[in-house]
Amino acid sequence: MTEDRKYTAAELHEQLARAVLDLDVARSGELAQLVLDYHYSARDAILKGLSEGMRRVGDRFCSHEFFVPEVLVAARAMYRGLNLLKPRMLEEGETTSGYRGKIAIAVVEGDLHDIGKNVVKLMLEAEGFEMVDLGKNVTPAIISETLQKDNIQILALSTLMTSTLAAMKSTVAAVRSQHPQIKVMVGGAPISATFASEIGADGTAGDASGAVRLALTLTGQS
Amino acid sequence: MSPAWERFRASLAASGQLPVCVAPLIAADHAAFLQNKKLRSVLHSADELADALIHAQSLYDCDFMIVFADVYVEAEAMGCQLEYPEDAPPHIVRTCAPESLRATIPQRDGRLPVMLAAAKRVITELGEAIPVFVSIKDPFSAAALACGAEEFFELLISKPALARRAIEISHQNQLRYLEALLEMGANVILGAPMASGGILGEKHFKAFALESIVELLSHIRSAGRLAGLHICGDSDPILAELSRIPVHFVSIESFNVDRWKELISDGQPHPAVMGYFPTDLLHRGPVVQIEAEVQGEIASLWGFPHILATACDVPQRCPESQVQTFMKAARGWRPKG
Repeated sequence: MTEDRKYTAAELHEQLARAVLDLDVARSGELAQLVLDYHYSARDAILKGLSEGMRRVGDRFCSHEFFVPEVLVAARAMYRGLNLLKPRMLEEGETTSGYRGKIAIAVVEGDLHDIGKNVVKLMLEAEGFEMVDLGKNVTPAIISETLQKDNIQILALSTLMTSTLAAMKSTVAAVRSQHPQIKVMVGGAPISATFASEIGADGTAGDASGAVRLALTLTGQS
Repeated sequence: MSPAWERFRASLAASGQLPVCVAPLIAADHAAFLQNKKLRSVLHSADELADALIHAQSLYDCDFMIVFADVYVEAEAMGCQLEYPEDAPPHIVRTCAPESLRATIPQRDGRLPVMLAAAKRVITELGEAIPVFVSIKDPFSAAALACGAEEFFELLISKPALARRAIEISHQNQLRYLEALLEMGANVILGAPMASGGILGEKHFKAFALESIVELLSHIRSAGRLAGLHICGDSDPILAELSRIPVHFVSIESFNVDRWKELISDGQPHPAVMGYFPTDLLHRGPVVQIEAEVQGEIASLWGFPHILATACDVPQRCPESQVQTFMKAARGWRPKG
């Protein structure tokens, strides 16, 4: 079997990372299939290949070389590989999801804009956080219910509109009173550091890469 | 010339006239709130929309106004389906496939006839007293909103030819809408909520959005009307492009003011800049902070073509007193020394 392998595991990891960074959806799928064919570890391919690729995408997003279209297509490339590798990983009794921790993410009640939330979710997932996506227009009651039953470390709240800042404030207040152990991060176009602090959030970030750094800091992993 | 028109012209020319031109951007949602009317009803009635905007102007005495309902007017006319909460802006419940965007007729489709009739009334009643700008979407944004923003952004990379065909349909629609507005003597501001520098970056902005924006703006100007452009989000990635665009003013949500001043200090003609007053501060801020921000913004662009304006629309439920504070602070501003 070994002599048939054209690439080492490390080489495939690097090529997977590059496929994501090159926004090459088809190539990501081909390489993931090679991982399966060569019987390399699916978990390692996800963590050292696909997730590493998204990390590099995050760096480029941060330095304004990439913008939202690139991040969305890179995520598609990541998922093409992930969807092939995940069943094998589960067969192997392994997991990658959540080794960094678990985050619930939502757009606050009254707001239906979720591009920002989705980009942040992708980057956090690629970093190794397990994400519980509650969607958009989410009431404090649904958030509270989720926090109660899942073992969540961070709540990430997003809004694009100034008109829903009040909803963000009341959601944070509700979480603070009912789940004081949960860290809360907030984000979105109208959110300033001052506002985040005023409403009792643990932090805010200006973009998706900043959100990843903040989540790592809040979970003591930075 | 009326005082508002005088202040507007003086600000475009940076003539140093006081008080400066001031423009909180009042859209249908805040105007309806001021009248205690349900937004859904206002968005579907030309008379109610016109009444609400005229009422808002009578309260605030702005130097500039827009006729604007919500971002989805053109997207809905092209075929996407909206849901209208009773008293909140509409949202999309079903997007269009890019291949199935409809060619629209402004006198017939969706709420375009409502917008035309509301614009006509506002221009007729207030157009001589105050610069009135009818807001329409740039073709890229209208197409992206109709097709679903994330799906459309992916197309720019995965199927650029399909994205271009959708933008072309949208462009032709906007040309017909524009023609109908120009015939009634409207000045027009193109709103670009999706063609944002912070979302697209310079490369995609230039490849997919800029050309149709420039063509529509040139069309407005060649008809002898005034043209503006409003760009949402962070404009720093496309600031150089915006400084060269053939338009009377650009309304920008967020940008580096010092870089803007550098870009327009080359002796060439450039648009005036307006916008960037934070709407959250306007909505919630204490009076002293609003006053300080107004003073700081006017001072930072004094001597340059500049209109003091909110970064985006005034939030729906912003208290009237907050906007009055903004207006009063602007009216009272004088250069130091």
